[in-house]
Amino acid sequence: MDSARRITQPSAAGTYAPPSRNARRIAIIGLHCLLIAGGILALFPVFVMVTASFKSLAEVLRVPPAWLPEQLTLKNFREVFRQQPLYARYFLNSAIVALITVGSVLFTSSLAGYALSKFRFRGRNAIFIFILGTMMIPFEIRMVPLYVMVSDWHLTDTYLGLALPGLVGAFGIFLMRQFIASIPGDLMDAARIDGASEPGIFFRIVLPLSKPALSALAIFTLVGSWEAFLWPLLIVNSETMRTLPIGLALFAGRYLQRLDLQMAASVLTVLPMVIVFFVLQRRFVEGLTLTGLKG
Amino acid sequence: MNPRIRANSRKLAVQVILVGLLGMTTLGSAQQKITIVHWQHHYAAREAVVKQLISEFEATHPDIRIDFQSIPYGDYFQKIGPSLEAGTGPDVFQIPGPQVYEFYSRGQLAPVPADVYATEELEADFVPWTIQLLKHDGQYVGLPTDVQLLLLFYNDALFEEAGLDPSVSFASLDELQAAASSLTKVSGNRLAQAGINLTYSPYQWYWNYLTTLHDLGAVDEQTLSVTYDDASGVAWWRWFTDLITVHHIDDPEFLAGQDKFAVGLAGMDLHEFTYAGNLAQLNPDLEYSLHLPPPAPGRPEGAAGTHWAYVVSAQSPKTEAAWEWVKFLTSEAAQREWVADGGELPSRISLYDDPELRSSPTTAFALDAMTKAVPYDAIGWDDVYAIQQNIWETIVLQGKDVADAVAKGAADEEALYREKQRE
Amino acid sequence: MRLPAKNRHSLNRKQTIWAYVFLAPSLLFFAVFVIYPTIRSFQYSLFDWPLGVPQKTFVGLENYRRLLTDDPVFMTSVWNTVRFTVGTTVPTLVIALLLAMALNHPQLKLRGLFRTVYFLPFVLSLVAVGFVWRWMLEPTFGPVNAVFRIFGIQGPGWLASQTWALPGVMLMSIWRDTGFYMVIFLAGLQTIPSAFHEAAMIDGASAWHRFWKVTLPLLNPTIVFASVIAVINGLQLYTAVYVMTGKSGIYGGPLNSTRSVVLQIVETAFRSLNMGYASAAVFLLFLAILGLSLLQIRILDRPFEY
Repeated sequence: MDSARRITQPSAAGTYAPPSRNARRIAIIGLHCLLIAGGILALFPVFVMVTASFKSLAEVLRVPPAWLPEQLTLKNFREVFRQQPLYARYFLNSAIVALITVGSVLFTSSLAGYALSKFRFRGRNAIFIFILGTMMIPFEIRMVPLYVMVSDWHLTDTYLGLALPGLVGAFGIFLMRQFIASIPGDLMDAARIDGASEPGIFFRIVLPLSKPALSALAIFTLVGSWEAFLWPLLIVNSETMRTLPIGLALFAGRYLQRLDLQMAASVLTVLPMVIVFFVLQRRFVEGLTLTGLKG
Repeated sequence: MNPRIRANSRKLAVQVILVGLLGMTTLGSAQQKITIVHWQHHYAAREAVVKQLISEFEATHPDIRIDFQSIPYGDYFQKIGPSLEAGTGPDVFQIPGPQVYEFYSRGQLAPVPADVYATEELEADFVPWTIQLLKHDGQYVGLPTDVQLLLLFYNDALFEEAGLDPSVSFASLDELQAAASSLTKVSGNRLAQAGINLTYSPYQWYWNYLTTLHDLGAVDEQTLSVTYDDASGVAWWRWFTDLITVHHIDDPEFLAGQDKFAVGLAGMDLHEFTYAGNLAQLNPDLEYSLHLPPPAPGRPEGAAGTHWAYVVSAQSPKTEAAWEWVKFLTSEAAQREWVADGGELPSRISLYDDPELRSSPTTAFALDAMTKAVPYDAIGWDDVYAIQQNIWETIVLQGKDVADAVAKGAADEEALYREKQRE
Repeated sequence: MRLPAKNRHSLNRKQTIWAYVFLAPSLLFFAVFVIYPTIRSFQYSLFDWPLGVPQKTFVGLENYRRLLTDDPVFMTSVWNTVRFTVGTTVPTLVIALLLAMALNHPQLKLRGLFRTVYFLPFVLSLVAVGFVWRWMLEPTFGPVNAVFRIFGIQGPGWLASQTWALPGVMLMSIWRDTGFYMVIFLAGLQTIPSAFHEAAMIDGASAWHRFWKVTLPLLNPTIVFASVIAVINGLQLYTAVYVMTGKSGIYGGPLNSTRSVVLQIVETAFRSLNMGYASAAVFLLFLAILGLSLLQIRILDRPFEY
């Protein structure tokens, strides 16, 4: 209690009287109203995007705007697929690259995190600081030399090329290290005494116990991979290998005049992540919580 | 199940998936036929024609497959340059005529083999100004495509509404400006109809007038200096920017980023001939007339023409097949399709009096206008456009003095040419 | 349980070997795909190297000199990027904090719903959001100006105007990112044991006082974390301007008003094909990111007593 006393001082005006019951009720209602207004602002662009995807171009251009579409038809969506039949392929490409990236990141991060937290060896701290340091290096620095390397190895327009820069992440290693550090070391020692092999311990004890951190990391990596723009833009030349964000950007770039198609394509593009979000909502937010605290 | 076995089978499954993924990652095309990779910058009408030509070509050349990529204009140059450098570029691609020299001097273009197309035959077949920019060191390194003229489009209905006759060409810049003013409608204090669809895409105006202002064209190739920084050039820039700043016939914030002419909210538009094809897709009901843009004071009647070239990459191991494809793309039969469906003008002399092509009044008009064509001859493309656009923006958006802006732009453009020269 | 000394030594050796085995894939990756490219990039930056010219000429720090003193377009891009970063970080974090505190209020109903609604924009693909806002901000028929018109205000030219283009991009960015930081702050707020708030209340501190003396200091690590991330992201602005102000091959907006540093770097590298010059610019960006991050940690991270 003494500690609390040190930070709080009575207000200069004398003793503080808490607000009356009514004042508090009004404040609460006011708060709710503000939050609702804010929520409307937050959702307004989404509303506008979805309604426009059902409108014809003339309706979109109308001044003053018609807020709701005249008819609910899917013709814009059909037109998007007609003009760009590969749209579904873009989704598949993004999914495959995400799969490769998430798999690789989970695997390498947990391995490295485990080594850095549960093993004692010379150079451990130095290596950890080194890995943390790489987080400071922005992607743009590696961009041009990586492009040259990937071209030389003929990996442009391939899934491996697309996933390459993200296969290992310092952030993931950091996260896993922090988390695995909290796993009691006795479990592993006991297993060693029982004669288990190191890889065995990793796969059968450490990994299963790391599930919460692994799922958080998986979600982060998934989002990061899905959203990647600059790198895929540089190395994908072929239409068939485009990832979803690039596909949308190039499609909309071709149809700058066709706002109706642009909006339909945008809706198609955001749909996968929105679905993932709603399904995994709790894990998403948990994941953020996990990292926010560690920062 | 025994946990060890479960773990093992899971490990095995993981390995299988990993190997499978790795296998997928190096997917390439089947190597039974020769595949020619063809890149083009995207334009809806042209894409359709190329696809049609591909099926025709592949039918007669069963051992060749064309892999066609239609890349949006904004990314096109960003991809061509680096991929050619990196060796992952296409076999056949198109570049603007004015840029052929740049690519050639970097050693990136393969010349036409004599057995595919002999030089004398080539020169006899094509209109001279369309191949002028394609001959280097005695060899031709490209064949012309996308031949365009810059023409003035009138919206017939809006003209008649304003009491103007859409069949009459303007004799002078002043007449054009007067008509534009009467085609402008204001509602409240905001623009409701633009006299000219100008702010959406001003480059056609730079190209047409900067080229036709002087006999030497836009650039004096001998001295690598621009011609528009003299009195007549500044006068033209002043007239052009006055359209916005003084006469308010268009506003950058009115329907920003939209093609006002295509949606029927602009009276006129200066655009390449191919725009007719675009209009057919965007607004087939729009009725319009075509005219030559009026000449600047003291200049003869004429319009600037531009063209691109299909070229073959010097790195391609399949230059023979690639050039066969290029020759087919520019053959007489193909050019008929280009004109009919792709909105291009023919570059072959034999097609100029062709009755079938002339049956369309729009095309007939353009073909006649071709005799007054002057080639756009800046040394570059987007980079030059960026400099000229900057001149326009500093005057219109920033209120900079016209003479100062033009002087600075000219200096920048000449610096660009000097930098290219040292390569 | 202590093992005899000799067993402990061999155990340590075995541990070391396995540790390095486990670390090997990651370290290998960093060496080949992070450190090596970074060094090469720095190497490139010391040369005048237009692609296509086989000869690279060593110019030492000339590229850096030119960037900092002789390149008005680059300076414009730096200024734009700084304006963007400051103009988005401050409002975003402030609003996010307020929202988090509101959502943390014990008497708030429907907390989960509000959290979902505010977080949703962040889940939407940035490219899609960019195109939606590009249309929303269109001055003549876009919804934003339409709403202004309802209140009798004439909306600005947004992406078509040199003064309002960057604010338009900033507006989109604030809208999208606020939910993300709100969730981070919310998590931070929920770790503050209510004991502290109660003690403060018993001592007679007002809500305002409680905020400044209890909440804010205890939230400090989270705020630093959020601020560092926000600045790093802000400095790397690219996708948003590419999507929102790209037109006819020009991506920097009217009079380069939305030209960001990364946009400038990408165009220099891949259009002008001047790899050396672009690499120098990239290193300047790196130094800025590093410097600003350390600066923030130094200034904002205040140790205090519990």
